[in-house]
Amino acid sequence: MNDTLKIQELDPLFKEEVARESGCGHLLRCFACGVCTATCPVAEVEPEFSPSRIIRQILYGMKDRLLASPVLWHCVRCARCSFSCPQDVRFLDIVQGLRNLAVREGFVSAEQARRLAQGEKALQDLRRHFLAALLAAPEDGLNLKEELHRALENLDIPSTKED
Amino acid sequence: MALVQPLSRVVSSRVVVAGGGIAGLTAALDLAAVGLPVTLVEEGPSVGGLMSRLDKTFPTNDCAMCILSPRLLEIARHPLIELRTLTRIVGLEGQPGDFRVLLARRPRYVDTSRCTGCGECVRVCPKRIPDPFNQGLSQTKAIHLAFPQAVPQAAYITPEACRHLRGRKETACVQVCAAQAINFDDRPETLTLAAGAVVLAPGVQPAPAAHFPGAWHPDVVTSLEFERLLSATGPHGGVLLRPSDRREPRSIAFIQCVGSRDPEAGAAYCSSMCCLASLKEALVARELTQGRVAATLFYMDLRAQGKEQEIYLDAARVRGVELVRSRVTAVHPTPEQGLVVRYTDPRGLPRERTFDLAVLAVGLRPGSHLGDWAGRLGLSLNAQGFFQEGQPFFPITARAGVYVGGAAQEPMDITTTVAAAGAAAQSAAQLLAVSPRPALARVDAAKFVQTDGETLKIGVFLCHCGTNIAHTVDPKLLGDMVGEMPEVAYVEDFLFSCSTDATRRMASIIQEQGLTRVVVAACSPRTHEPVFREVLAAAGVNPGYLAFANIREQCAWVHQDDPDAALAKAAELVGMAVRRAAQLTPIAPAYYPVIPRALVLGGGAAGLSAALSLADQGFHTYLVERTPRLGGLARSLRSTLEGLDPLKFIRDLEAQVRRHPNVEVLTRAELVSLEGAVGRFRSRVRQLIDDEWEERRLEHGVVIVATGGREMRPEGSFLYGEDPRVITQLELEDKISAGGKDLDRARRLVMIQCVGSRSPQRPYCSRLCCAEALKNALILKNCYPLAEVVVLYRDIRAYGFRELFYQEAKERGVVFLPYDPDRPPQITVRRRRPLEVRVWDELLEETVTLTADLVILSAGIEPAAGTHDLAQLLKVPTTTGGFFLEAHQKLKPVDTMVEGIFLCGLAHYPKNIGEAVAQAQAAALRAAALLFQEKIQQSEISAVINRSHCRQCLTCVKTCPFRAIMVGAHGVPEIVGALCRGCGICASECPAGAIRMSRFTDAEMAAQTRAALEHPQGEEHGERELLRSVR
Repeated sequence: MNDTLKIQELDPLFKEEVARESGCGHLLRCFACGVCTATCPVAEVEPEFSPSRIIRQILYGMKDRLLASPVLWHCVRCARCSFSCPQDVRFLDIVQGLRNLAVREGFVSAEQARRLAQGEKALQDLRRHFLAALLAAPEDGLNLKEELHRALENLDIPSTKED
Repeated sequence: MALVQPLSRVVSSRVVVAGGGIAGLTAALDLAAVGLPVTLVEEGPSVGGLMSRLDKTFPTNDCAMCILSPRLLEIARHPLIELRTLTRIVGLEGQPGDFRVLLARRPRYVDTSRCTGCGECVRVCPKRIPDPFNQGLSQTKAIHLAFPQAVPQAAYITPEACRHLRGRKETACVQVCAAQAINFDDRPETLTLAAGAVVLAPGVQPAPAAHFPGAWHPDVVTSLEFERLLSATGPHGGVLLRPSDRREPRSIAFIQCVGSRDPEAGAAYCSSMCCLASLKEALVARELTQGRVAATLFYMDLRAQGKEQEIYLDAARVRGVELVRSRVTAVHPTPEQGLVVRYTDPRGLPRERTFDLAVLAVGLRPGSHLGDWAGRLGLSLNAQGFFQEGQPFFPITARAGVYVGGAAQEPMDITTTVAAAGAAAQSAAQLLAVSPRPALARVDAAKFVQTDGETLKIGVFLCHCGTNIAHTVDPKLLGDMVGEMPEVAYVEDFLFSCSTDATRRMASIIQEQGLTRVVVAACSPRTHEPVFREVLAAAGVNPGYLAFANIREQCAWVHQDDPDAALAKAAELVGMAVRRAAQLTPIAPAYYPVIPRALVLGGGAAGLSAALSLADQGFHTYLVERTPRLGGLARSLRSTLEGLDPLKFIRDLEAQVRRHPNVEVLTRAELVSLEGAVGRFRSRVRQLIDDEWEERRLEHGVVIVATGGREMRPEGSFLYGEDPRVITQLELEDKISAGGKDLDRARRLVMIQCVGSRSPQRPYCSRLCCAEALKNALILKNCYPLAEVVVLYRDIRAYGFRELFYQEAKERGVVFLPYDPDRPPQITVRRRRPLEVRVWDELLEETVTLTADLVILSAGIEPAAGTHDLAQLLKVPTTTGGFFLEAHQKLKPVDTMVEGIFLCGLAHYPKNIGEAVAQAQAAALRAAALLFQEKIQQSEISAVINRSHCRQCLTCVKTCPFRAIMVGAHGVPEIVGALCRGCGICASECPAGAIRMSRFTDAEMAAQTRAALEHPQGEEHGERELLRSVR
């Protein structure tokens, strides 16, 4: 990437806007130590999701790019970032703040947000079922793929399509 | 008021110094040196403090104990210093000059006046306990010496562990103690001391690390534990092994900021010294394993803001220490892979690495008892739990007559601590200035007894220096080789020959064996010759009969990879010293009177403080300032980060100096020449009066160099000097105080750090600029809340409590963006538009373009104009960046190589006003110690002219750099003893060979050289034969 990011074309007040969101008051404390990213289980599998980078983008005022970005919705809300942050920046709340802003500013529709929340819940259910199956598995093990399929079948997932 | 007003009446001139770490030791010695009686109070069983537990010290990689132990010994034997261990201050009554200090002593159960430190009791004691000196990594006994070089050299019983004290009838220690030193009836006691002033130096303790995830694992150690793992007196005898399986680690992770820069863990401040300490530990670990161990340092900002530290950082990088900018807050021990460390790479991606050993760089916390002290002494603590000072960084506390010096003020490294302790001591000395100094008249003539020079009986003492020497040169083998030398009557080796018990043992060996010459094969005579001369004197042998062989720096350290050859070389070095010893002559020193006046060069904050400190102690002081006004660089500051008003401070100081009867101020004046030596300098100073230079001749005993520094003019960088919108931080301060219109209009300001600093041309950090940028950014945010302030930095070096201001600046919305020095910011000018600053953002992998109405450059600090010439004139060497070089970077930060010339302020290195004033006070006290002496010993090496050989060519008169040779009666040159410094130039230049030196005589050198040319071995044989044939 060699494009130039022109700060005058960005929103200098964005960082204050985010900081005003609920729980985001510590945003400006960040001293870019990188602990949030190092401990993030999502960043480990999804290189596009980097708490360090998201904070830097907020500071630059890259509002449009960030609020429209799908990575915001990758966070699994495990809160490891918040627990390990020496500055108590509470990145978990910042992600939530960004999501709220994305909805309020129309980058994501209310309907999309509702579906994302549903999807999140479904994933949690799936996880619960799948783990339960693993725990109940016999000594000689089991076919993971089959178990996953079974867990999926047992799941009550409402369609997001209105038909 | 920053400095101290002397009392007009002093009832007791004693100073009680509390704390036996490097700060307390320094304060005690500096006070005793000006003739004030001192009681040094230490809570533990030995003095030495945290420094005694370190393996090496940065940036010189000196062995910590090697540079500390001479001071410990000096404390032990100084007639004016009374040492009270296991004792603490519990109360203070009365007034400055007339205090009653209440002390409480815990029982040692060993009589220090009887105990010889022989260690027999330790051997027989049945009760093992974890050794506190080794951080519990090894075992000791319930009765033990704190560490081999402990002072007092006496055992101590840990009451909680001792079986006898817990009711059993065991008395093994009492049975074996030949000195009958053990006393189980010892009881706690309180006592009251009369004192005039109190110096508090309670120091700091390492931050707790137990809460750190993973810290429970044996291979996750704290930095202090790691120092012990590296040390020769540590649990593994100086071989680097990991604790879990005693195998050499292949990789080590150094994790910075454990318990620092962590408000959640209770310490928002930066501990100032850990970055360099970890770099040092990484380098030493690599050295110790011949590069086998890989070292990785995880950091947030690499803070190398001290003198010569940037070069040290560069060297560490070159020598293979990997630096990763990412904070680590957990170590995950796994059974298979070792210790897993998760971090973030420069692109913002999570990474994982495994290591064999992890070192937690624990920060510094105030001593646990500080709150108690504060309560009892009526002092207050700041929000961080450190002593609240009267002024930022000055040693004055809320209670008159009580001063604080060292890390209890703010976390700091040893060098800064030594200066701060000197400042606290100076404050006490200034308060008690009217005290009589009867003790200083002594000249210890007994030291120079003329012993029988006829009989030759040479003894050799070999030092292991822990493992420093023994690791490479086997002392037993060397002892055997030396023992076979025909001239040698006696050989013995010591683990640390400079420890109290070793020196005592040496003295008794000299007496028992009737030795008349002594060879010490150890480290450098520069640091340790005085120690062993004392040993000879104590044994009744003239100190001139000591010969030194440096088998550490000149052998063991440089030949680590070839022990066989190192052993052969060590034997030859000792052999040479033995031959020289046979030719030595006794010393019979001469004395000359001291001129009790001082010359201070430079009238800035440091110079003014030094002059006032000396004048208050009663010494006439010439203050020479180049410019028309006093105040220096501090005059261009409007405020400081800590809230001091520099202008008011300078005005107060100037007013006091101007009206002081002992100070003579010469402005528009400069030094033209300097002759003479310590105690009797003669200088010429010229002063511009009514456009005419007038010359004055001054005589004085000491010189204090306080010529200061200046903000660099960064011409040519970042369009400075080409576009008026690019200015320096000091220019910004002017604009702020003038309320400039361009500031009102400015919407976006960009600061660029490290302009001119940390570059190949100026490989040093200017220390001040980060704090300066923070200060100005905060002022801007206050005055112009809508202005956007962006700071482009490499590392934010907000050391100590400055970190809190970094926090504040961020929370106020100042944006900090790192830049890569290899891709520095670029500025472009656009007509009638704001400037454009383009900077590469590695995290986002994008070039960011910032607009700026003003660009502020944090230009580095350089020495004042003319420093180079002054250095030549004073013959004081300079170092990186052209700053003056001190005598020792760690422990002698205000002395120079030239005796009688002292150093302070920015002439030494960039520093803030508080640090500069502290250093000036410390320098003034060191100088006063010389001025208080009535007589000074002449240089023991001096040139001697053989009149009958002299051809009166006067080559010597022309070449002598110290003008110590005068043409006397009948045109015969004569040496002026007091001026001769024994450099030897005249002796080597004299065409008639008529001049010889009183030490290092031809006979000594020839004997030494002959010894070197004997017993040729191996491949050097041919070369030596060739040399011989030439001769």
